[in-house]
Amino acid sequence: MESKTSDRKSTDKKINWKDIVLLQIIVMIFSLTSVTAKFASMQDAFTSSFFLFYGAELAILAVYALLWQQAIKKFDISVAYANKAMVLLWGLLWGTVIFRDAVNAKEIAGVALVIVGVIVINSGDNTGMERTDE
Amino acid sequence: MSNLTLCVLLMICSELIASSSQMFLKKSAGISYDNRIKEYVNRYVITGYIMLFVSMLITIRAYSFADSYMNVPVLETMGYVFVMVLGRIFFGEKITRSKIIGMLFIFAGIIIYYLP
Repeated sequence: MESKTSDRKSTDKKINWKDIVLLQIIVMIFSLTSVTAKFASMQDAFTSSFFLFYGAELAILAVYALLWQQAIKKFDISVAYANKAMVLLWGLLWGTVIFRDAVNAKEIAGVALVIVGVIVINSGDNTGMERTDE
Repeated sequence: MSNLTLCVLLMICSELIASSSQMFLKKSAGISYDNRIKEYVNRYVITGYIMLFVSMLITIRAYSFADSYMNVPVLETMGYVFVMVLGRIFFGEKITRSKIIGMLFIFAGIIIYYLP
């Protein structure tokens, strides 16, 4: 099965916006694992409160995993994974709202460039959409 | 070793493991299974997620060396390049011009974010 992946031509692929939006929702869910990871890091290692947050992270990851495994059927793994860069946009939101981090112009510019990079990967000469044969 | 250096080293380690885990997941996604359960409970997916759990623990450690929350998610983007290279090696996925340009933007973004 996987040998077909490498033989697929990139020219006849079409962007399916529904798949991309779905991928972004999955990414938002994934971004919450960073929030729980940060909370876990604020506890003493391997205490009960540490495991509470690590457990929460695993739970969110489990939901994300179920969705992700379906989503990557439709994308090149490199393209799907690059979409995870959108976690940065969510991260900026969680960072300022939850952790009260000050964000400066340089950091916003950096994150913006990363997001531009993701968009280029998605919309360039190879959209990364694959046909599913299963 | 400075906290930033430690944070970066831990994240490189974490992302190498996380990127490799994606190869196992993609391998499984390319196989037809008799039912939904087997899509999730098979040796590729289980190996992939064990690697992901280890990577998560390393990432949590990295947070304790980070000054602000966003430092770690920005470093996580290194994984995209690792996955692109591994995707080519294991699945013959093409590294197209747009992927390379996109990656350059991502790295420029990381560097600008971390400029003093």
